[in-house]
Amino acid sequence: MFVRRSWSVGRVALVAFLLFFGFPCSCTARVVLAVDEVEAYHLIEVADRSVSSAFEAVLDAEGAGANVSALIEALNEAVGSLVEAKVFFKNGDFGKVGEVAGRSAEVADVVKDEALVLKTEALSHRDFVFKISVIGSAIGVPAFLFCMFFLWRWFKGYYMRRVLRMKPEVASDVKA
Amino acid sequence: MLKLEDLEIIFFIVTLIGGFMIASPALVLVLPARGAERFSELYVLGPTHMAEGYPFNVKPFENYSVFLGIVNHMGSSVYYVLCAKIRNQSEPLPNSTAGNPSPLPTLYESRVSLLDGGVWETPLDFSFAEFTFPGNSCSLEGLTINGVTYRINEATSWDSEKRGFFFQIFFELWTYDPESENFSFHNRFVGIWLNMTRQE
Repeated sequence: MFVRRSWSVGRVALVAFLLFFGFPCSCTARVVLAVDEVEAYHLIEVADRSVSSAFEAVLDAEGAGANVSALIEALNEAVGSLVEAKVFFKNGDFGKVGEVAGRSAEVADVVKDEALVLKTEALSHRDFVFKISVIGSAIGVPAFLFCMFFLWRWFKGYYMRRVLRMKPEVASDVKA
Repeated sequence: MLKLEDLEIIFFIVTLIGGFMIASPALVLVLPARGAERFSELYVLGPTHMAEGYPFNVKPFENYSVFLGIVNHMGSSVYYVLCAKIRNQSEPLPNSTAGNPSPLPTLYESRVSLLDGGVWETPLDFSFAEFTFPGNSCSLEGLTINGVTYRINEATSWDSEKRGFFFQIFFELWTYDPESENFSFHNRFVGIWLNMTRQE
Protein backbone atom coordinates (compact mmCIF):
# COMPACT_ATOMS: atom_id res chain seq x y z
CA MET A 1 0.00 0.00 0.00
CA PHE A 2 2.78 2.36 0.99
CA VAL A 3 4.84 1.33 -2.04
CA ARG A 4 1.91 1.94 -4.38
CA ARG A 5 1.24 5.32 -2.78
CA SER A 6 4.85 6.44 -3.02
CA TRP A 7 4.97 5.37 -6.70
CA SER A 8 1.91 7.49 -7.43
CA VAL A 9 3.54 10.42 -5.64
CA GLY A 10 6.61 9.98 -7.84
CA ARG A 11 4.41 9.87 -10.89
CA VAL A 12 2.69 13.10 -9.89
CA ALA A 13 6.07 14.70 -9.26
CA LEU A 14 7.24 13.61 -12.71
CA VAL A 15 4.13 15.05 -14.36
CA ALA A 16 4.57 18.29 -12.38
CA PHE A 17 8.22 18.46 -13.43
CA LEU A 18 7.29 17.98 -17.07
CA LEU A 19 4.57 20.61 -16.79
CA PHE A 20 6.78 23.18 -15.15
CA PHE A 21 10.05 22.55 -16.98
CA GLY A 22 9.46 20.30 -19.96
CA PHE A 23 6.64 22.26 -21.58
CA PRO A 24 8.32 25.68 -21.40
CA CYS A 25 11.53 24.08 -22.70
CA SER A 26 9.74 22.56 -25.69
CA CYS A 27 8.12 25.94 -26.40
CA THR A 28 11.53 27.64 -26.30
CA ALA A 29 12.93 25.01 -28.67
CA ARG A 30 10.04 25.67 -31.02
CA VAL A 31 10.69 29.39 -30.88
CA VAL A 32 14.37 28.78 -31.66
CA LEU A 33 13.62 26.43 -34.56
CA ALA A 34 10.78 28.48 -35.99
CA VAL A 35 12.75 30.42 -38.59
CA ASP A 36 10.73 32.28 -41.15
CA GLU A 37 11.76 33.02 -44.73
CA VAL A 38 13.21 36.45 -43.98
CA GLU A 39 15.24 35.17 -41.07
CA ALA A 40 16.44 32.16 -43.06
CA TYR A 41 17.56 34.45 -45.87
CA HIS A 42 19.37 36.63 -43.34
CA LEU A 43 21.10 33.56 -41.82
CA ILE A 44 22.27 32.47 -45.26
CA GLU A 45 23.63 35.95 -45.91
CA VAL A 46 25.50 35.87 -42.59
CA ALA A 47 26.95 32.44 -43.41
CA ASP A 48 27.85 33.63 -46.91
CA ARG A 49 29.71 36.65 -45.52
CA SER A 50 31.47 34.47 -42.93
CA VAL A 51 32.64 32.02 -45.59
CA SER A 52 33.85 34.84 -47.87
CA SER A 53 35.62 36.52 -44.98
CA ALA A 54 37.23 33.21 -43.97
CA PHE A 55 38.39 32.69 -47.55
CA GLU A 56 39.98 36.15 -47.59
CA ALA A 57 41.80 35.30 -44.35
CA VAL A 58 42.99 31.99 -45.84
CA LEU A 59 44.18 33.80 -48.97
CA ASP A 60 46.10 36.30 -46.82
CA ALA A 61 47.71 33.46 -44.86
CA GLU A 62 48.65 31.75 -48.12
CA GLY A 63 50.12 34.99 -49.43
CA ALA A 64 52.21 35.23 -46.30
CA GLY A 65 53.62 31.79 -47.11
CA ALA A 66 51.57 29.57 -44.77
CA ASN A 67 50.49 26.05 -45.71
CA VAL A 68 46.72 26.41 -45.93
CA SER A 69 45.71 22.99 -47.28
CA ALA A 70 44.05 21.98 -43.99
CA LEU A 71 42.24 25.31 -43.83
CA ILE A 72 40.93 24.94 -47.38
CA GLU A 73 39.60 21.51 -46.43
CA ALA A 74 37.83 22.96 -43.38
CA LEU A 75 36.58 25.91 -45.43
CA ASN A 76 35.03 23.51 -47.93
CA GLU A 77 33.06 22.00 -45.06
CA ALA A 78 31.62 25.47 -44.37
CA VAL A 79 31.03 25.99 -48.10
CA GLY A 80 29.22 22.63 -48.29
CA SER A 81 26.95 23.61 -45.40
CA LEU A 82 26.24 26.95 -47.05
CA VAL A 83 25.22 25.25 -50.30
CA GLU A 84 23.08 22.82 -48.28
CA ALA A 85 21.41 25.75 -46.50
CA LYS A 86 20.62 27.36 -49.85
CA VAL A 87 19.04 24.10 -51.03
CA PHE A 88 16.89 23.92 -47.87
CA PHE A 89 15.89 27.53 -48.44
CA LYS A 90 14.89 26.79 -52.01
CA ASN A 91 12.82 23.83 -50.79
CA GLY A 92 11.13 26.03 -48.18
CA ASP A 93 12.64 24.08 -45.29
CA PHE A 94 13.51 27.21 -43.30
CA GLY A 95 13.92 25.38 -39.98
CA LYS A 96 16.88 23.43 -41.33
CA VAL A 97 18.36 26.55 -42.92
CA GLY A 98 19.01 28.03 -39.47
CA GLU A 99 20.84 24.94 -38.26
CA VAL A 100 22.94 24.37 -41.39
CA ALA A 101 23.72 28.04 -42.05
CA GLY A 102 24.69 28.44 -38.40
CA ARG A 103 27.06 25.49 -38.68
CA SER A 104 28.55 26.96 -41.85
CA ALA A 105 29.16 30.34 -40.18
CA GLU A 106 30.62 28.63 -37.10
CA VAL A 107 33.11 26.55 -39.12
CA ALA A 108 33.99 29.59 -41.26
CA ASP A 109 34.71 31.65 -38.13
CA VAL A 110 37.02 28.93 -36.78
CA VAL A 111 38.80 28.80 -40.16
CA LYS A 112 39.20 32.57 -40.14
CA ASP A 113 40.70 32.56 -36.63
CA GLU A 114 43.11 29.76 -37.54
CA ALA A 115 44.05 31.56 -40.76
CA LEU A 116 44.90 34.70 -38.82
CA VAL A 117 47.13 32.70 -36.46
CA LEU A 118 48.82 30.96 -39.39
CA LYS A 119 49.31 34.29 -41.15
CA THR A 120 51.00 35.81 -38.09
CA GLU A 121 53.28 32.78 -37.76
CA ALA A 122 54.09 32.79 -41.47
CA LEU A 123 54.83 36.52 -41.46
CA SER A 124 57.18 36.24 -38.49
CA HIS A 125 58.90 33.26 -40.13
CA ARG A 126 59.19 35.15 -43.40
CA ASP A 127 60.57 38.16 -41.57
CA PHE A 128 63.16 35.94 -39.86
CA VAL A 129 64.16 34.30 -43.14
CA PHE A 130 64.38 37.70 -44.83
CA LYS A 131 66.61 39.10 -42.09
CA ILE A 132 68.88 36.05 -42.16
CA SER A 133 69.10 36.24 -45.96
CA VAL A 134 69.85 39.97 -46.00
CA ILE A 135 72.45 39.67 -43.23
CA GLY A 136 73.95 36.62 -44.94
CA SER A 137 74.15 38.46 -48.25
CA ALA A 138 75.42 41.67 -46.63
CA ILE A 139 78.28 39.78 -45.01
CA GLY A 140 78.78 37.07 -47.62
CA VAL A 141 79.02 39.23 -50.76
CA PRO A 142 81.70 41.68 -49.47
CA ALA A 143 83.62 38.76 -47.92
CA PHE A 144 83.52 36.90 -51.22
CA LEU A 145 84.60 39.99 -53.18
CA PHE A 146 87.40 40.61 -50.67
CA CYS A 147 88.62 37.01 -51.00
CA MET A 148 88.41 37.15 -54.78
CA PHE A 149 90.37 40.42 -54.84
CA PHE A 150 93.24 38.89 -52.82
CA LEU A 151 93.03 35.69 -54.81
CA TRP A 152 93.40 37.74 -57.99
CA ARG A 153 96.36 39.64 -56.58
CA TRP A 154 98.06 36.43 -55.59
CA PHE A 155 97.27 34.83 -58.93
CA LYS A 156 98.56 37.86 -60.82
CA GLY A 157 101.86 37.74 -58.91
CA TYR A 158 102.14 34.00 -59.48
CA TYR A 159 101.45 34.49 -63.19
CA MET A 160 104.05 37.27 -63.53
CA ARG A 161 106.68 35.24 -61.69
CA ARG A 162 106.02 32.30 -63.92
CA VAL A 163 106.27 34.44 -67.05
CA LEU A 164 109.52 36.04 -65.85
CA ARG A 165 111.04 32.63 -65.09
CA MET A 166 110.53 31.57 -68.64
CA LYS A 167 113.71 31.50 -70.76
CA PRO A 168 113.61 32.64 -74.31
CA GLU A 169 114.18 29.79 -76.66
CA VAL A 170 116.19 30.47 -79.76
CA ALA A 171 115.79 28.15 -82.59
CA SER A 172 118.96 27.17 -84.42
CA ASP A 173 117.49 27.35 -87.90
CA VAL A 174 116.10 30.91 -87.66
CA LYS A 175 117.64 33.33 -90.09
CA ALA A 176 118.41 36.76 -88.67
CA MET B 1 99.04 29.90 -72.25
CA LEU B 2 96.25 32.47 -71.79
CA LYS B 3 97.07 36.14 -71.62
CA LEU B 4 96.72 37.97 -68.30
CA GLU B 5 93.97 40.22 -69.77
CA ASP B 6 91.90 37.15 -70.74
CA LEU B 7 92.35 35.63 -67.31
CA GLU B 8 91.28 38.94 -65.76
CA ILE B 9 88.00 38.83 -67.69
CA ILE B 10 87.37 35.19 -66.66
CA PHE B 11 88.13 36.07 -63.06
CA PHE B 12 85.76 39.05 -63.19
CA ILE B 13 82.91 36.92 -64.61
CA VAL B 14 83.46 34.19 -61.98
CA THR B 15 83.42 36.85 -59.24
CA LEU B 16 80.20 38.37 -60.61
CA ILE B 17 78.41 34.99 -60.83
CA GLY B 18 79.63 34.01 -57.36
CA GLY B 19 78.45 37.33 -55.92
CA PHE B 20 74.96 36.87 -57.39
CA MET B 21 74.82 33.28 -56.09
CA ILE B 22 75.66 34.39 -52.58
CA ALA B 23 73.12 37.26 -52.76
CA SER B 24 70.41 35.08 -54.37
CA PRO B 25 68.52 34.11 -51.15
CA ALA B 26 67.94 37.81 -50.42
CA LEU B 27 67.31 38.69 -54.09
CA VAL B 28 64.63 36.01 -54.37
CA LEU B 29 62.71 37.64 -51.52
CA VAL B 30 63.02 41.13 -52.99
CA LEU B 31 62.56 40.60 -56.73
CA PRO B 32 58.99 39.84 -57.93
CA ALA B 33 58.53 36.23 -59.06
CA ARG B 34 57.53 35.79 -62.70
CA GLY B 35 54.59 33.40 -62.59
CA ALA B 36 53.24 31.11 -65.25
CA GLU B 37 50.00 31.75 -67.13
CA ARG B 38 47.05 31.85 -64.75
CA PHE B 39 43.80 30.16 -65.68
CA SER B 40 41.13 27.76 -64.49
CA GLU B 41 39.95 24.61 -66.23
CA LEU B 42 36.26 23.78 -66.35
CA TYR B 43 35.16 20.52 -67.91
CA VAL B 44 32.18 18.25 -68.22
CA LEU B 45 32.50 14.47 -68.56
CA GLY B 46 29.94 11.82 -69.41
CA PRO B 47 28.50 9.27 -66.97
CA THR B 48 31.49 6.95 -67.45
CA HIS B 49 33.91 9.70 -66.44
CA MET B 50 35.05 10.01 -70.03
CA ALA B 51 34.52 12.68 -72.67
CA GLU B 52 31.89 10.51 -74.32
CA GLY B 53 28.40 9.18 -73.73
CA TYR B 54 26.95 12.56 -72.84
CA PRO B 55 23.17 12.55 -72.42
CA PHE B 56 21.52 13.81 -75.59
CA ASN B 57 18.11 12.35 -76.36
CA VAL B 58 16.31 12.89 -73.06
CA LYS B 59 12.92 11.71 -71.90
CA PRO B 60 10.83 12.97 -69.00
CA PHE B 61 11.39 11.45 -65.54
CA GLU B 62 14.56 9.64 -66.61
CA ASN B 63 17.77 10.29 -64.71
CA TYR B 64 20.92 11.43 -66.49
CA SER B 65 24.31 12.10 -65.03
CA VAL B 66 27.46 13.97 -65.95
CA PHE B 67 30.58 14.95 -64.04
CA LEU B 68 31.74 18.53 -63.67
CA GLY B 69 35.31 19.38 -62.88
CA ILE B 70 37.38 22.42 -62.02
CA VAL B 71 41.18 22.67 -61.97
CA ASN B 72 42.85 25.69 -60.40
CA HIS B 73 45.95 27.08 -62.15
CA MET B 74 45.55 30.59 -60.77
CA GLY B 75 48.73 30.61 -58.67
CA SER B 76 46.81 30.83 -55.39
CA SER B 77 43.68 29.46 -53.74
CA VAL B 78 40.39 30.37 -55.43
CA TYR B 79 36.81 30.27 -54.19
CA TYR B 80 34.68 29.07 -57.10
CA VAL B 81 30.96 29.05 -57.75
CA LEU B 82 29.57 26.85 -60.48
CA CYS B 83 26.20 28.07 -61.79
CA ALA B 84 23.92 25.82 -63.81
CA LYS B 85 21.58 27.50 -66.30
CA ILE B 86 19.29 26.29 -69.06
CA ARG B 87 18.59 27.94 -72.40
CA ASN B 88 16.94 27.31 -75.72
CA GLN B 89 18.68 27.95 -79.05
CA SER B 90 17.71 31.62 -79.20
CA GLU B 91 18.63 32.59 -75.63
CA PRO B 92 22.09 34.04 -74.98
CA LEU B 93 25.18 32.21 -73.85
CA PRO B 94 27.85 34.08 -71.84
CA ASN B 95 29.75 36.61 -73.93
CA SER B 96 33.37 35.41 -73.98
CA THR B 97 34.62 38.52 -75.77
CA ALA B 98 33.13 40.95 -73.27
CA GLY B 99 33.53 38.53 -70.39
CA ASN B 100 29.87 38.83 -69.43
CA PRO B 101 27.79 35.98 -67.99
CA SER B 102 24.50 34.89 -69.49
CA PRO B 103 21.60 36.99 -68.16
CA LEU B 104 19.55 33.83 -67.64
CA PRO B 105 18.71 32.87 -64.04
CA THR B 106 20.88 30.42 -62.12
CA LEU B 107 19.03 27.22 -61.31
CA TYR B 108 21.59 25.35 -59.31
CA GLU B 109 24.89 26.35 -57.82
CA SER B 110 27.79 24.51 -56.30
CA ARG B 111 30.72 26.05 -54.48
CA VAL B 112 34.25 24.98 -53.66
CA SER B 113 37.53 26.56 -52.66
CA LEU B 114 40.60 25.06 -54.29
CA LEU B 115 44.31 25.31 -53.65
CA ASP B 116 46.57 26.18 -56.56
CA GLY B 117 46.82 23.02 -58.66
CA GLY B 118 43.79 21.54 -56.93
CA VAL B 119 41.25 19.44 -58.84
CA TRP B 120 37.59 19.12 -57.91
CA GLU B 121 34.98 16.93 -59.49
CA THR B 122 31.32 16.59 -58.66
CA PRO B 123 28.60 14.36 -60.08
CA LEU B 124 25.56 16.12 -61.46
CA ASP B 125 22.38 14.07 -61.77
CA PHE B 126 19.45 15.62 -63.52
CA SER B 127 16.02 14.74 -64.79
CA PHE B 128 13.17 16.63 -66.34
CA ALA B 129 9.54 16.68 -65.33
CA GLU B 130 7.04 16.08 -68.08
CA PHE B 131 7.51 18.01 -71.32
CA THR B 132 4.59 19.36 -73.24
CA PHE B 133 4.59 19.82 -76.99
CA PRO B 134 2.11 22.57 -77.75
CA GLY B 135 2.00 23.16 -81.49
CA ASN B 136 5.46 23.21 -82.97
CA SER B 137 7.29 23.74 -79.69
CA CYS B 138 8.39 21.98 -76.53
CA SER B 139 7.85 23.40 -73.04
CA LEU B 140 9.66 22.47 -69.86
CA GLU B 141 8.20 23.01 -66.43
CA GLY B 142 10.55 21.34 -64.00
CA LEU B 143 14.17 20.30 -63.80
CA THR B 144 15.60 18.27 -60.94
CA ILE B 145 19.32 18.66 -60.31
CA ASN B 146 20.99 16.56 -57.62
CA GLY B 147 17.66 15.88 -55.95
CA VAL B 148 16.41 19.46 -55.91
CA THR B 149 13.54 20.36 -58.20
CA TYR B 150 13.51 23.75 -59.88
CA ARG B 151 10.44 25.17 -61.55
CA ILE B 152 11.36 26.49 -64.96
CA ASN B 153 9.36 28.02 -67.73
CA GLU B 154 11.35 27.33 -70.87
CA ALA B 155 10.18 26.62 -74.38
CA THR B 156 11.89 25.86 -77.64
CA SER B 157 10.63 25.52 -81.15
CA TRP B 158 11.24 22.67 -83.58
CA ASP B 159 14.63 22.82 -85.28
CA SER B 160 13.86 21.54 -88.74
CA GLU B 161 17.52 21.48 -89.76
CA LYS B 162 18.77 19.32 -86.87
CA ARG B 163 15.35 17.75 -86.38
CA GLY B 164 14.73 18.15 -82.67
CA PHE B 165 13.64 20.28 -79.75
CA PHE B 166 16.90 21.47 -78.26
CA PHE B 167 17.81 22.88 -74.89
CA GLN B 168 21.25 23.44 -73.49
CA ILE B 169 22.28 23.02 -69.88
CA PHE B 170 25.39 25.08 -69.35
CA PHE B 171 27.62 25.79 -66.41
CA GLU B 172 29.30 29.10 -65.72
CA LEU B 173 32.35 29.45 -63.52
CA TRP B 174 32.46 32.40 -61.14
CA THR B 175 35.24 33.28 -58.72
CA TYR B 176 35.33 35.29 -55.54
CA ASP B 177 37.19 38.57 -55.86
CA PRO B 178 38.54 39.65 -52.45
CA GLU B 179 38.97 43.26 -53.63
CA SER B 180 35.36 43.82 -54.61
CA GLU B 181 34.20 41.28 -51.98
CA ASN B 182 31.93 39.76 -54.58
CA PHE B 183 31.79 36.99 -57.13
CA SER B 184 32.66 37.77 -60.72
CA PHE B 185 32.24 35.74 -63.89
CA HIS B 186 35.50 33.94 -64.67
CA ASN B 187 34.76 33.76 -68.40
CA ARG B 188 34.65 29.98 -68.43
CA PHE B 189 31.60 27.93 -69.31
CA VAL B 190 30.73 24.48 -70.65
CA GLY B 191 27.44 23.01 -71.73
CA ILE B 192 25.67 20.01 -73.16
CA TRP B 193 22.89 20.04 -75.72
CA LEU B 194 19.78 18.00 -75.03
CA ASN B 195 17.13 16.87 -77.48
CA MET B 196 13.75 16.59 -75.82
CA THR B 197 11.99 13.46 -76.99
CA ARG B 198 8.49 12.21 -76.32
CA GLN B 199 8.03 9.31 -73.91
CA GLU B 200 6.95 6.19 -75.77
